[in-house]
This record gives sequence, structure tokens and C-alpha cells, in this order.
Amino acid sequence: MGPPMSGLVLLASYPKSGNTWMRAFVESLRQGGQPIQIATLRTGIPNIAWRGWFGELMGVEASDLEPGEIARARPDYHRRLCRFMPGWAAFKVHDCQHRVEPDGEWLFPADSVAAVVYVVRDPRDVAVSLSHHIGRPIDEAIRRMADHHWTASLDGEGPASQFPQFRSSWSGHVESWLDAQRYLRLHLIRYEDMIANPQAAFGAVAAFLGLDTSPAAVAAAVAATTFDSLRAQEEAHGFCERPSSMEFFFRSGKAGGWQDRLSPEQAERIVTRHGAVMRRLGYLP
Amino acid sequence: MDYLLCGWRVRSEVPLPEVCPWAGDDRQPDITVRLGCAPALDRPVDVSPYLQIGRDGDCRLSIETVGSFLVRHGREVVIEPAAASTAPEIRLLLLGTVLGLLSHQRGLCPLHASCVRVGDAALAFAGPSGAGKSTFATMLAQRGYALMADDVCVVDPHAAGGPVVLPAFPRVKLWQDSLDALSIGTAGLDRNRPSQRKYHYTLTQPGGFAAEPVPLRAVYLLDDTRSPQAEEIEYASGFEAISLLSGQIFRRTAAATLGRERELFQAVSTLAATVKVGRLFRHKRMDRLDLGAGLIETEWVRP
Repeated sequence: MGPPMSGLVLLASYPKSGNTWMRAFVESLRQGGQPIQIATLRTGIPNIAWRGWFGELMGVEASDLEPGEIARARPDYHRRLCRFMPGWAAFKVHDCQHRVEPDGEWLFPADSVAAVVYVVRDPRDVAVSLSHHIGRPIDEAIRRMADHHWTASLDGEGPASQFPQFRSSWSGHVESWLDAQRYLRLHLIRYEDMIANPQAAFGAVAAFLGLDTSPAAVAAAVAATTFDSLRAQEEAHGFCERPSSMEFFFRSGKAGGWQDRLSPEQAERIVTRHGAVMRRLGYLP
Repeated sequence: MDYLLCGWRVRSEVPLPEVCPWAGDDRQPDITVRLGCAPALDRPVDVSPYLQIGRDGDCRLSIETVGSFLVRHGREVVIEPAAASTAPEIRLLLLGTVLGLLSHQRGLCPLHASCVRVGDAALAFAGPSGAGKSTFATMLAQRGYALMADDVCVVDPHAAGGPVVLPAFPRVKLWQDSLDALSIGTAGLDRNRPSQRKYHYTLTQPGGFAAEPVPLRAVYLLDDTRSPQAEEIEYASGFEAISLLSGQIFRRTAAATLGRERELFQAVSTLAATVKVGRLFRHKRMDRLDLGAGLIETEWVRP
């Protein structure tokens, strides 16, 4: 389904910004607006940093390489992934777009990418959600969002299931993808607009990705992937992507909840650190 | 020094302490491993930046910090170590990807799996990197079943009496968390790579390794995508079994470049018709390891 597109389809975002909702919508729309099993998202639109295919495509297991070796290999790996999956191949991405070495290649080179949907969310809401996700106080989430060195998914006592992912700060992440519009086809979408007017917001995504844009199909996919329906599935069957620190992965699904959860001082700290990018996205006047 | 690896007599200039010494007849070596120049191949097909395959089926594996490996005709390996490489790193690639390439060149079917012998059956546990193959196999070894392979399980699908597993060596690669769960200390163990808390552990208990080929009876894909109340096995048959097995072939992309696609499809069809193939749904949690092992015992250990 969809027009022939050469390259990977990336559903990218900073963590806790509505990526899973977007994946669910895209999967549902590709199935004509059918309800989807959330358990199938992990394989349907997997995280591109999942290590499982690396060994086959590169000839060496990622778990036998040092982090720096993996980082340098990833641009080439993404091209191979693209050739390996000639049809529709959509992935979740939480990496910051960046050059893997000084003057080196982009992590996602232009010749491997067909389209990027970049989902962005008010960082004050991200802070609340991230705090639940990592099972740490909100101040810790705010600190992490300010850390422009943040790299997730490093090996510890056991193997990480994903490659190390350089995330940068929230601002750094957002800007890296907005800047990538110079050489990648990218559609920016705000979580708040997905909540306020899903038909219009998701309809635009459907058009951008060359999927079925008929109002009935978009409406069906939107209805099949509402917060309530995703949450109900999780309550009934669980969700394999839920971190053990969270009771439910699908926690609130609201915009603006930060106003009841952040102290004025915490909100101010986020604005001080990320104000420039927030203004660019309309989160500040 | 000569070694017994997958039934072959391997003469190696590089010491392989984790591989059993050769104790068989005085036949000529089946494979020689030597140090030397491993230059780039002439007009190769690039499988990846690390792996090239020549028109004549020669393979060259090269990792800047470890070294280059030339693998020829399933009979010869030439190693050119990088200056900063360590011996365990060289053996890691030699007994991993290179072993897989040798198997393909020799017309065998290597699976990305670890394997133990339970009774007179070889059981392979497959899955992508990180699925828990080594941990699961070591757990079974600690319960008294002999290890046959870790990570690369070489199967001869056309052996006279049916498919057999050719035993590799009694060494497993385990991360710190698995070692802790299995009560294995890290003192004296080599690290997989310098920065990793992943170690090479050689089983030394008597009977801990099966040195003779054993008929392959089952291939289980370790799968944690479902969260069952209890560990469970779901067997596949027909095309589903073939498709599941195909996905477990070690270095399948390289094998396709070697022109083995049709051959491997036949091999996998033979396996699917003669061995049990299924998914072992389990929680990837150390405190539940024994439940999965118990399920395997229920299937295969007759009182």
C-alpha cells in the first residue's frame, strides 16, 4: 500500500512524545482502519536501534562490537536495512539525528530515508511523562532533558536490546530533526494537534506518507487507536514495551497536564533551558 | 596444535584453549588456521563494511581493531591480527562468524543457536543476539545436560541417519547478569571485548560437553514477545516451520551471496520434516530461567 517510496520511513520523536500513538495509527491505517494489537507494534514498526538484524546484515554481531564501532557502522547499516526491506519499512526512532564522527556521515543518511514524521510535544508534559517512564522524580526527568550528552541504551551488566542511542537534550533532539529538513523529507506534527484535531493532524500524516487519505479510513484508524482503546488493550493483555517502573504505558494521553504536576519553579526551569525551541514550536508566546 | 571442532581436525597456529585437542586418527587436517597476510579480495561483493565475498567464494572478515580473516574453500583460515588486538578477540571472531562461514563453504547449515544434548537428542535454542541462548544453554548444562554449541550451532542436514549437530566447543559467552544468576564468578575469565561486561566461560565439569555428533531433534526459538502466565511451547509445522528455521540460519545473507539459497532451502525443508520446530515463549527474567528449563525437561526427559 502507498506509492513506491525508496527508503526507510522513520517515525521519530524524543521519548514520551506520542510516538507509540503515531505507530498505532499508521499500522491501523495501513490495515484499512482496523483495530490493531498493540503487541504487534514491536515487530510491525520496530525501534530502528533494535540489535537483532545487525549480525545478519553486517556479518558481525553488534554484541561483539564496541559502542564506538557500532556508532560508526550505523549509517551504513541503515542503507543496508533499506535495501534489505525494499517495500514499506517503517521504524520508530528516538535517536537524535547527528554526525556519527566529526565531519562524518549523518546517522540517517539522506539516501536511506524516504520520509520522516517527527512528533514533538510540549517539553513540560514530556517531563511529567518521562518521570513516570524512568520511575524517577520530575526533577531528574528535567535534568535528563537538559543533558545534551544523554546516550540511552548502553550495555550494563547485561546486553542492551538496542544500540546505544545518542538522544542529546530535548532542544538538541528537536533542532537536530528540524535542521534535517534541509536534506530529508520531513513532516513535523505536534502531539497537541493530534489531540485537538486528530482527523486533520493524522490526515496530513496519511497524505505525507502516501497512505489512504479518505476521510473514512483516517477516521477509522483514529477511532481504532484512541487513548482509551490502547489503554483498554493494555489493561486486558499488558504491553511488552512498558518499562517495569510504570503501572501502565498508556498513562494519561492528555495535553497540558503539566499545569497540575509541575511546580512553577520546575516549569520555569524548562522554559529557561528550552525556551528558544519552545517558541519556535508555538509552546510559548 | 591440532583440535577437534565440529568433527574436523583443525590444525591451528593460534592456540584455541576452549576447543578440545584432537585425539582421533592420523588423518590430514581438514582445516588449517595460520597467521599471515589477509589482503583485500579482488573485486569482491560487499556483504558489509566488515565482510566481503570474492567471486570464487573466498570470504574476508575484517574489523579494524581486531584483525582480518581470510576464509578459503572451507579448508583454510589466514589471520592477520590488528596491532592492538587481544587473543580472546581473535578467537571470538574465529569461533563465531568465521566458523559460520567455514560451515557454509563446507555445505553445512549453521544455525544462530546454542545447543545441548538431552538424552540422545540434540536440542537447539535459537534467537537473535540478546535472546538468552547462551544463558539458557548454560542453565541446562548446570542441570547435567551436555553442551554442544554456543551461538553457532553447526548442523549437517544430510548425515546418513538424519540431521545431526556437530559439536563445537564447551565455551559460552555470558554477560555479568547471567553469570550472577548462574552463580559463576568472573575471576580469570576473558572479556568478550575490552569495554564489555560479557565474558568467555569454559565448562570444565566431566560430561559437560558432548564431543560426538548427536541427532538434532528440536529447534526452539526463544521468544519473549508474548507475556504468558507460564512458559509455553508452540510448535510450528509445514511452511511455518520452514520459515521459522530459515530465519535462524547463521550468516544467511553471506550464504546467499555465496550462492547457497536453494541449497539452504532444501536443508531447512529437510530439517522441518525431521525435527520439531517451535517457539518457546518465556519471560526473559533470570528468576524464571528454571521454569523454561523445566518445560524442556518435561518434553524430553522420560522418567
